[in-house]
Amino acid sequence: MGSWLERYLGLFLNFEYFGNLTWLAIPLFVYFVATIKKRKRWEMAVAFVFILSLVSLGIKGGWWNRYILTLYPFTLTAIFLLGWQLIKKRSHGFQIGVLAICGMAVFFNYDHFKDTYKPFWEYKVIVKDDRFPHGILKFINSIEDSSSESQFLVCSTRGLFYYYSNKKGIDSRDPRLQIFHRQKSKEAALDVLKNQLKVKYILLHWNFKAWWIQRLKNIVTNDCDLIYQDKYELSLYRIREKDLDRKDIKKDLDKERLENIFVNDSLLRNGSFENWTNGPFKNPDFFGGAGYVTQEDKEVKIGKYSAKITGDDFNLIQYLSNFEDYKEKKITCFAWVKTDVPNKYRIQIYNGIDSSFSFRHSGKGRWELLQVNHTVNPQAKFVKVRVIQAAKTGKADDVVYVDGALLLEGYWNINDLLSKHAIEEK
Amino acid sequence: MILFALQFILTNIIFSAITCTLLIRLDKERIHSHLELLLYSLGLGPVLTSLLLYYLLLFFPHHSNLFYLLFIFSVYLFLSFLGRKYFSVLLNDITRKIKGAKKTFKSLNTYHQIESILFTSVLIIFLALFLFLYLTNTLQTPLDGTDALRYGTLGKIFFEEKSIEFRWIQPYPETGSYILVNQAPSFSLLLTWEKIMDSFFTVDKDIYYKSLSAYYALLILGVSVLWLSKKSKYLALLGAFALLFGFAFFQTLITQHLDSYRIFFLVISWIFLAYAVEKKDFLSFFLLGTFSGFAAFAHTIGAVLVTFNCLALFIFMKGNLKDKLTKTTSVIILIIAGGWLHYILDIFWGFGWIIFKRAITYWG
Repeated sequence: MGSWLERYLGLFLNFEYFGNLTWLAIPLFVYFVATIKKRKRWEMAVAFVFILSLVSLGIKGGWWNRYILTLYPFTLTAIFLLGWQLIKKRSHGFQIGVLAICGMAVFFNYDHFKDTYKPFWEYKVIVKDDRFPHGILKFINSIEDSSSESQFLVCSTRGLFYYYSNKKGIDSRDPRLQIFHRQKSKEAALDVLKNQLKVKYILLHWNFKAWWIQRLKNIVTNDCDLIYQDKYELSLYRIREKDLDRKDIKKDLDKERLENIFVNDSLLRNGSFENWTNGPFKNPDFFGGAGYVTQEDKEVKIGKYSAKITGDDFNLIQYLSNFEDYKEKKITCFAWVKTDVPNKYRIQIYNGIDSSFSFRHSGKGRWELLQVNHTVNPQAKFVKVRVIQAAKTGKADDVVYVDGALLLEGYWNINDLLSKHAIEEK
Repeated sequence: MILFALQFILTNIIFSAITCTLLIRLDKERIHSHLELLLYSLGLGPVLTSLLLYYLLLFFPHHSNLFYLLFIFSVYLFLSFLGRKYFSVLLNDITRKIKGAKKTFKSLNTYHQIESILFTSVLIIFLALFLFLYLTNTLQTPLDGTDALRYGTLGKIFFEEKSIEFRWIQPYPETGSYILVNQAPSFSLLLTWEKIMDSFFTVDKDIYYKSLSAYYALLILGVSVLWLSKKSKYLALLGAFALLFGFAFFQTLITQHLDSYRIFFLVISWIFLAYAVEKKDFLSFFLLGTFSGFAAFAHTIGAVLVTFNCLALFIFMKGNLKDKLTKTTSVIILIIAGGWLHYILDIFWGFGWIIFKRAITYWG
């Protein structure tokens, strides 16, 4: 019911966006209709247009505040003009009283929703928090490439690339991508991307949504190097010119090899969840956070155990003990995650000032390797690695398994990591 | 900032003032207040410039920057020639209003004088504070926001190609940008206009384009205050605060968007709908058609909603059928010339607007 009212009558009932006085239009309209015989033709003409406009906007774009905004200034002014007709013959004190009540209502509404204003005020007025991705755009423009055909696959609806860059792109909605979508395998799709569409770079917004996102994630994870990551939302990948040796890649499930990486390289302790000193029903060693965490010995990716988490709106956290050493440095976190709940789980690195996120798990009931890259802010207060973070969906029986969480210095791709260890072993 | 000031004063103040003198000339029945016309005209300079640029790029594409600049200047020169006698009328009117306000102030008792000073001070302080923060901070932030960037990219393409054609050729072959919007390119063309002027100073900025959202939001605020102040100045003050404390409207002041631009023309078209039905004077019909056309030229929402203006005019205007048909048809012609033409082109030769959606079927 609430969403229906907001959908069609948002102009009058969405106090956060349109204040708490616009609902007065409804009783004033009743007053208008009740006094219709006294109304002039121009008043009826304007009311007629207003009603038709309201209905049209409600049906076509009532869910979108920007559409409803079309009527807001007119509605509010009309409310005050019509309201004045009602009180103009009353005493001066009564008029002041009504205006004062309206003023207080406006103020209290602002006070109630002031958090809505805050980020905009900070970003656009006092310019405290510069969220604009200057760095990545400068980096893109500075890329020197001998091939004029080199293109960027632009997977972001924000529109920054085409306005600010001097490079050639191919938009995620471009019909030319149909040939990429038609391919049956990831390998064939990658081949089309590289050789037919001449795509060399992928610019990806962390929240990019498309029906082919899973294929893109596979390409980004397995066939690309991350070359720049903006601290908020954009990542730039370069497609590898040559495929890695497939024999090495096939070994990525080799438990022994991965366990070596955990011992030798990872900045996270107990990332493979082998140690549960406090018992199987308490948090694994070195991990904290809210949620019902238990030791799992059946659904395991690395070693003997994984962590099974049941519930909603939780975090499994480890703080980086020597985070001061990593200020201004790049770090990468990987974790294997398995769940059949779509788009609920991801990894987050948070330093008290800014955050980076991985893609969300697809929910296809298989182990997926999630990855997040992060540059630690020089003013970081801590580095908190949420190896699993769940969105609140209201379902308390959702289950997720997490295993093989790695935290490494630098920007890494899992294939780079495996290749490095393969070489070291040889 | 100097170049921005020049562009702003030229397009928003001088061009608008020229348009205003022409409107005063057309107001033969002396029905409309000159100051009211001036307030509405302040929004006409930019949109008329973008309309001229639209027709120029449509019918005379691929010419030099100088060609477009001189053509637009020539049009305004011609308009100022037509309204030359009315500059002094407008200035005298403004001077008389200021003198009248001074006289009224002197005639007040001390209590009311203090009240007036306090009232005016509150308005000036808020406006000055806003302008200070806006000019020093907000306007300096880079252009951002999906729509502003999308329209901006189109504006850049128009500037590069000097043609409207690339509104319908997507993706744009040079950069691969893929912009499918249903709107007419009015807002984008204001960036094109800025870039044309920039080109003579070998700079490449977008400050003027970024300033439009706040400018038109302030005009909307001004229109609301004007109408409410006719009843009571405290009602006007409350109305202004209530409008600003609706977060959706507040956003238009600080973000870069075309919402305030499109809403302004629609609101003024409704005002002139009321005037046209009530007064039936030539200027009201002319401005109903013109502002409705500009509302359509600014956005698809306007293009849809102004059709109701025509319907309302036909239904509620007093007169016989012939009179109603003639006047409504005249308004429709003005609406088409004022910007609806773009949608006709789009329907038959372009993307199909919202009717056929020819190019959107792939992904939408």
